[in-house]
Amino acid sequence: MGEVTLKDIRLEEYGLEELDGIRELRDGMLREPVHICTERAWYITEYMKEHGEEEMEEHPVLYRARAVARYLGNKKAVIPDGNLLAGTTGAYLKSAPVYPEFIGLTIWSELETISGRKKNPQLLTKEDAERLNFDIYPYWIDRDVLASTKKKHGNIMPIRLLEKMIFYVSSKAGCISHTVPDFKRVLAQGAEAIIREAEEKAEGSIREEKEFYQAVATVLKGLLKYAENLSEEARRLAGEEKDEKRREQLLEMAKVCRAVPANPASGFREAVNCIWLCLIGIHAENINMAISPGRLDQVLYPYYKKDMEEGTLTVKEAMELIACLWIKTGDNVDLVPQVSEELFGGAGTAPAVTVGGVDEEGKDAVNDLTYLMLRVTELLKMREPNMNARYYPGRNTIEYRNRVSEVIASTKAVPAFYNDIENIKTLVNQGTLEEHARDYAVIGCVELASAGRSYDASSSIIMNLTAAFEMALYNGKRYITGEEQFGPKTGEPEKMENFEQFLEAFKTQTAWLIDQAVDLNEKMAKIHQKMLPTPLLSALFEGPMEKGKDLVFGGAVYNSSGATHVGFADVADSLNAVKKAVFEEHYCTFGELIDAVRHNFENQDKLLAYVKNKPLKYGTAEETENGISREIIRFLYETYQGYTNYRGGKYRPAYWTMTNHSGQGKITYALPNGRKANLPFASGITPVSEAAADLTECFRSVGALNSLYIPGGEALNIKFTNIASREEAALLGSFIEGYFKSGGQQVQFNIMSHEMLRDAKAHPEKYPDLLVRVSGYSAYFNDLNDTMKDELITRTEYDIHGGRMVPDYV
Amino acid sequence: MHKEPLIFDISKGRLDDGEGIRTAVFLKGCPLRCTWCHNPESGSFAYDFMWDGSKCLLCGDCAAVCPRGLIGFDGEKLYLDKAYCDGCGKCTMSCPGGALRQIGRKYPEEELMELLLRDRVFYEASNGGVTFSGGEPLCFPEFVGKIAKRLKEQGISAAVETCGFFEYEDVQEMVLPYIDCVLYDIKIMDRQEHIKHTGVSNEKILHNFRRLSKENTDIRLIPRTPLVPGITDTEKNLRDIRRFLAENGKLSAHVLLPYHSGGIRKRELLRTGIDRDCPINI
Amino acid sequence: MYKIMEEETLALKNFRLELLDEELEGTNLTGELLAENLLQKYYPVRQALEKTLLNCIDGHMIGNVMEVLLNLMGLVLRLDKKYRRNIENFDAVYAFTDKAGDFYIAAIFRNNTLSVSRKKVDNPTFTLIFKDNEALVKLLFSGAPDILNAMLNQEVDFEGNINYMSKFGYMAMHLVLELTGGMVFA
Repeated sequence: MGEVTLKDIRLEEYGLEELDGIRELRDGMLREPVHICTERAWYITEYMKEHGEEEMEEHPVLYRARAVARYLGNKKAVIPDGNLLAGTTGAYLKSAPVYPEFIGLTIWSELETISGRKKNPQLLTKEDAERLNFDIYPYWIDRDVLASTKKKHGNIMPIRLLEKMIFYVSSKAGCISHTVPDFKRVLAQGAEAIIREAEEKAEGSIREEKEFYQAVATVLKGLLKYAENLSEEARRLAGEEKDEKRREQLLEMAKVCRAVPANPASGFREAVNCIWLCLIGIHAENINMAISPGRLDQVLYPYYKKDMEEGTLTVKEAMELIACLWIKTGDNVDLVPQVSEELFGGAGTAPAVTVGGVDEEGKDAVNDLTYLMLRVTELLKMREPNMNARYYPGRNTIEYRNRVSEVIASTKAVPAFYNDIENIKTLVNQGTLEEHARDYAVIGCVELASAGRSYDASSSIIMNLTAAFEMALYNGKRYITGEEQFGPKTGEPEKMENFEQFLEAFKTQTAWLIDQAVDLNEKMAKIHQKMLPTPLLSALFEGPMEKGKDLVFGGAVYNSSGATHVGFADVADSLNAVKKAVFEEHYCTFGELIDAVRHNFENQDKLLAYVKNKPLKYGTAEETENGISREIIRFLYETYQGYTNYRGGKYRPAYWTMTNHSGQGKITYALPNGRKANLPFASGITPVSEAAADLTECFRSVGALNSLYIPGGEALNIKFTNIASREEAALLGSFIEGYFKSGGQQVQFNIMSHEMLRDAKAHPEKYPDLLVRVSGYSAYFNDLNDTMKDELITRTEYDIHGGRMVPDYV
Repeated sequence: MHKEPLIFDISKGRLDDGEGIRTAVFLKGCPLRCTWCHNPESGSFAYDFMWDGSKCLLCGDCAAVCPRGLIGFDGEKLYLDKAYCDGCGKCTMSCPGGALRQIGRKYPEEELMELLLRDRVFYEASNGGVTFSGGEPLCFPEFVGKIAKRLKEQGISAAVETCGFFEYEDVQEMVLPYIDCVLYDIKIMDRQEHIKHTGVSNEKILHNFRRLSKENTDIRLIPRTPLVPGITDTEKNLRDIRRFLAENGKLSAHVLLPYHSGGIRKRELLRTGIDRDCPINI
Repeated sequence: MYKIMEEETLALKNFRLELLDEELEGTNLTGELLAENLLQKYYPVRQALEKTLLNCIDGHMIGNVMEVLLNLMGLVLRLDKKYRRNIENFDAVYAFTDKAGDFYIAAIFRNNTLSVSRKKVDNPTFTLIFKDNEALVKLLFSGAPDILNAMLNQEVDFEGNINYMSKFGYMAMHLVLELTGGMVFA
């Protein structure tokens, strides 16, 4: 049960200037360029060269622990700025560590130019470039996940489809990540106790279990060594430090690193730094793609409360520590080749923090820390962490809801809102115990986890639904790949006699594509099991220690795989268009429609106008009633849930798109819904731009999609011209209440007009840190490529007063 | 008195038509002709047409589909004779680009109720409801009262936006029992000025306001003044309005509405006469 | 457009990687003085190749680009010890062909050296199929070899382990960057 004792939940007396040194830390982190860090890759590769091959065969989990522990034990203890918390993910203030097991080799050809490339440069020293080229990459050239999969299975269709890049993305090639760890145990007991428990359990078990426990002990010891090194470094720096205040801070840091994570956290500061050090450990083991800290307002609350009651902590100090943690979460980004800017543009690592909602008993869990964290987010306005607010209509207060709305209005972008009622419901439907479902946290972008208990691999598949649609249109081919046959031959649409036949063709292509993607996911999973067990992450989880099983082998309490979709709205509208134009009103023949599409509607103004205006459009009440969108959602759900993954869990469909909707849209030709060639798709589960002219209808239509069929999470992007006053923010809260009551699961906002975004595109220097919501995560507008900027500019914009979209008069 | 109104818009999710989130029903027809009106299509009680040249493809489908042959198309120009239009809407439905739009249609009661009830969750979340507007909704007290009564039975608040030019007795009997809020425009106090800028005198308007404020204390009465530059926003006019409101004990509820120029574009689209330069003449 | 001197053209005309190999046979490659001599002797050839390559990148005579690149790469691999480190213990066969199948050239990395073949080689480690020469030049030399983007735009296709293309891209780019002085480091 949460308790709120603050007199002012807005904490207005604490601005950025009142928090000591935070503005400098924030600006410093924002201005800091990204440095590619080869330290991790170096140590792990060296270990692999020395022992790796044989050990991997004999001790798959233990070898990994040893390699990671070698790195952690030797990792440079760096204290690069005035942050109160100790520890850095890489060797710099802001690092892009190299993970050659995954996609670290994709920048090989860019090594000597990446430091100066125009979009998103990442700094690499000459020395490190040579290390990578001569020492590290050659070892991994045949050994990374994708290469290993290919070597084992040959050039099978699922791999061919992946490498074409326009059918689906299989994120196992890129990561083991996307989860919410458990910090409660390490905070309460300390890592040394976990090590002891692991060692005892190792004694009492045999074979794989024994090895797992040994691995846990080994890798955690590596983490403790790192903490020790940090402590020494802090003490050393304190010895040289002339400024009294900074000296005190460094000595405190040294003390904290000696205490945690080895021992139970004795107070708020230790708890916060413990979590950060554990995250560093997790990043050491595997790439950070949405490793999400979770419900920090709940996890940290006992420590906050204790210190506040004892008088050893003030609100100001607590806010400073939270701000320091927030800033730290931005200290690592993913190493990206240029093409990432197309599909995952501007993304940081999307570490999601979730506040609010209800506790395991279903009671209002909002507490003082919730408001402190919201205030810090409001003040910092940074991309990391990816802030999310859970709301339970009827159990969380209206004040809380409206306060979150105010923060959205003032940051213009964050947090995103999550509906506890629907999200808990869909998790329970997936077999989660009710109390565990109530304890859900967001995996950045928008996916749902039972915090610290479920391993959801939520980005396992990023399915391009428009690929399946095109294959239905072109009898198993895609426009851009010409005559190459990919999917099954589902028939020539020109010869089809009714809509059901075409719908069946679409479903067949989709089911086939899903089958390929699932097959690849399962095959890559086996590679992960062989190469990349995760003993450190497993130690910070409920389930593995009890079962004696690493997460990749199904050690978590709950298991699933997530599959998200690109182009849902465009496909729904295109199916609706085919139905109306060809089969209901006989406005044209199917052949004529396909011909128009193949020629990008050239000289077909009338047909283009017709398909843009007359067929049913997802996001309107008529479409919800009579259109295809709900049927597609249900079809996808039933198809995915027919599969069981390698960990015994189900596949869960989701609807978020990062910037895939822009990148894939760019290479997709025209579609029957009137979308012209090479334009972005709608993002996430959002209706096509300007298709849903009515705000409340948009909300109700999305809400009507039935959350039971969307267990993987969704991203609804709503753009408002402006929300200026507290009254307007409260009304925003009312809209969200209505949307949630209509069944909606998630919503996120951009509070900015077409004009302002155009201005920001033309004059980036006027908007240095403009934060925008893309599709499930936040990005700095200036980091995005032009295509993505245009997609944001042309998104449906609503005027909150009029309830209707503001047409984009260019 | 007209019985069944034409409705020219049903707009949802609105914040400025009373408390909370509201659906506004716009009835066609108004006894006033305010020079600044931002819904110029609301003046006439009969069907109107709007045509957007930027969307017209000059395809002639509208001419082909009109059952009464009221639209002529010679390949370059369109001629629409709306005098005999019965509002079937086929021309609007046939227009691929959405260029030609019939303004105003009849709504069967059940269809209207279904539309109004759609946003119930939003009304409940915000103390919102339905607002009758237009034109002048109180030209149709029987209709407004009928719908408001049904809304009240459903527990949904009904409000009315009015210019004040209505028959008090009819409204009192048929409408007032079912609404909880009246948003009442007080535009111009000076009689001559009022006639000049709205076409009618303001005696009835002021008289109705006095009666409403005195006799119906359980209905929220909110006087509103649109601030039209140079016309209503003069010092003298505002002072006089304030005095009038104070006399009726309603000064504290007074709301000033910023002027918005949406009417300008609408006037461009509204086709009401012959324009030799334009490809369409109505 | 870089002008190629007469003597350079002549030297290039008479140049074969195999001839260079004969000269290197029995020679101690690590002997710096000997390598110095060879560097001087083959300077005009190298100049010719480099200038031609740069011209190709600028859009002239790109029909030749693969051949020029591989010859230059082969030459530098033989003369430059540090560059040769790239192919230490590296055995791979790259096949380059256009979509129509009209063009074919193979690069064979074996025994710490590179040889070039116009005849089809069996079981190449990696095959790059490019839409046309423009696509190829864009892929290899437009700032940063970005095969993933080229894939997304369907300008190239490939068979084999994509890391091999990345490596080759690095080696190709390295040569060009040395010429243009375009290397950037932190």
